Amino acid sequence: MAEAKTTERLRSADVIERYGNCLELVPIDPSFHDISVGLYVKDGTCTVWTFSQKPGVAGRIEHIRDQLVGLGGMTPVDGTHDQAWFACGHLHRRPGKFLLVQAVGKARDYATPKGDMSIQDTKTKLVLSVSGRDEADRWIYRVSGEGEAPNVPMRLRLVVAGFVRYGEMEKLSDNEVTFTCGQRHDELIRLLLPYSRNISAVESMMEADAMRGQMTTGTLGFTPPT
Amino acid sequence: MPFVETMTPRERVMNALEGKPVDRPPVSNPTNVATVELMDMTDAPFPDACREPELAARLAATGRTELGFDSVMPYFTIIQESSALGCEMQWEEKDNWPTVRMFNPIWKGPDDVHIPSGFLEHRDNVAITKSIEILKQELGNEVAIIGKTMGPWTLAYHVFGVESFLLMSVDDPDMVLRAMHKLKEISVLFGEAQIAAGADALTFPDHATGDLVSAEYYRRFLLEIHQEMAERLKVPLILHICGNTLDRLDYIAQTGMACFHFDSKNNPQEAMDIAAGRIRLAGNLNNPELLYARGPAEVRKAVNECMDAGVDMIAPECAIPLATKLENLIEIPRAVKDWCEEHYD
Repeated sequence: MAEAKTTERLRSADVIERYGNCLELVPIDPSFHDISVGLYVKDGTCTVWTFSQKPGVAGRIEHIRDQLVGLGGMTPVDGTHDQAWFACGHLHRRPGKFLLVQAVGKARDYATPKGDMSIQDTKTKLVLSVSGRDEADRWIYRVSGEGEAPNVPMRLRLVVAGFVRYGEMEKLSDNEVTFTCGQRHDELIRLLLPYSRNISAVESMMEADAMRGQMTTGTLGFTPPT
Repeated sequence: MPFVETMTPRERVMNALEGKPVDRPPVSNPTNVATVELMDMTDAPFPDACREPELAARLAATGRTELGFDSVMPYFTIIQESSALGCEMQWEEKDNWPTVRMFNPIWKGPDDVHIPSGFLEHRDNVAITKSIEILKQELGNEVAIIGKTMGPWTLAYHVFGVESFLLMSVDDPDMVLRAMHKLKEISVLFGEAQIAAGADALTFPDHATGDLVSAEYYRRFLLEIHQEMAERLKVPLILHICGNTLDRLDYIAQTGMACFHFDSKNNPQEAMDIAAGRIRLAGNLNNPELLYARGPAEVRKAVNECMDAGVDMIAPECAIPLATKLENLIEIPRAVKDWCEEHYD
């Protein structure tokens, strides 16, 4: 695919022609002049794009691309500063959306986490952990919890439901999931774990995000928001 | 034979508004089509683009230059006049709409209604009139330039507060009518200023929406005033009311306004049947669930439904969500042209 510096001035139709449709759009990058940043996708290649021409914008785009690599385990496209792809060859659309939001939102000095895939549960005192294993050419992730909780199996089922919802993963059992590509994506698991442990809060957050910038009688204050 | 356009965008829009023949239905934006990406492209972010004419004009022009719409609209919000009247404003950030803080209204009743000196010279009104002048100079007669002046019902929400005003409509209908007649002068004044600046048509939003106001309320409080507006403002008017409005569309068709910009809550064919040629219709592509949340294929399907129904001007139902993806907007004129290619001899 032809590569262009992000600072190149392109018309919107040209961007779509060259880089594909926009998978996710972050309206404001708080770390760089409040520019908007989009993740455009064509033939499995993801391009971080902004229409902004602010000085230094190419460097910021490269940093965001590098965050996609660090936070999401994507592979940078050789010779580019703004493109990456999933080496499994599968476009993980829903995780890709969360990934761009995180890549733009993280502070510029944010260090990518490594090691254990575990997190404190928000609903119980459990520490939720995910471990993986290779089985019959598929990488299977198992969710477990350590600590006190009224009904651990129920809690784990809900976390698995979160992975299915936000990771577009396949449920194998009440505590096991795999990505549809069958490949190992530990970085995506780390990314998705905070979302998957609390579906209701994530849904509320996404709903609020979606309403921002909508002109309705509710957002204008003419009726109570629905 | 491939479909060939034979009219300029402006001719297309103006003919459609006047009910005259068109080469194809225009793609218009009676409210607006600004997005955060277009703001970046033109370095004209909200809220500055709502307050500085050069930025407003640059951003508005993208409706034509980037999206291929047949009209441009530099009045992005619904609050410019209210700001000039002295309402308390919340200007918000780039990704959200400026609003009036209606919990702190400036007036209590019709006796308070007045037009402050320097109203038209207020920066938030100049942002609109001057941007229309710029667009007229830059785009000339190629594209239709649509302005916007808020109707008295919407102004009443802003200056009296929604709750107080709606209670007033129950407790003292005569007071409401007096308020409407005084507030309408603001609509006329600002509308005429935009016409003088070069606006080819005016959108006239008046939020007597289906979920707030009954059809009977519309007839009682607004029908005559809207008829008067159609006579006094000497360009085609596009009435904009959100929500389900089929129950009042028969009244709206009697206003004498050129066009009604209608919401996706209304079936386009039913709306066309009620309008029955008495008023043109613009709409009614859904914003939150279609243009914001879906993709070009779904947009194309919705455009085709409007074209099948004979909707006169194809348009998003209201001001589009600021984070709308550009491919969905670009798809609208493409789908219209493809529909014509398929259906016209």
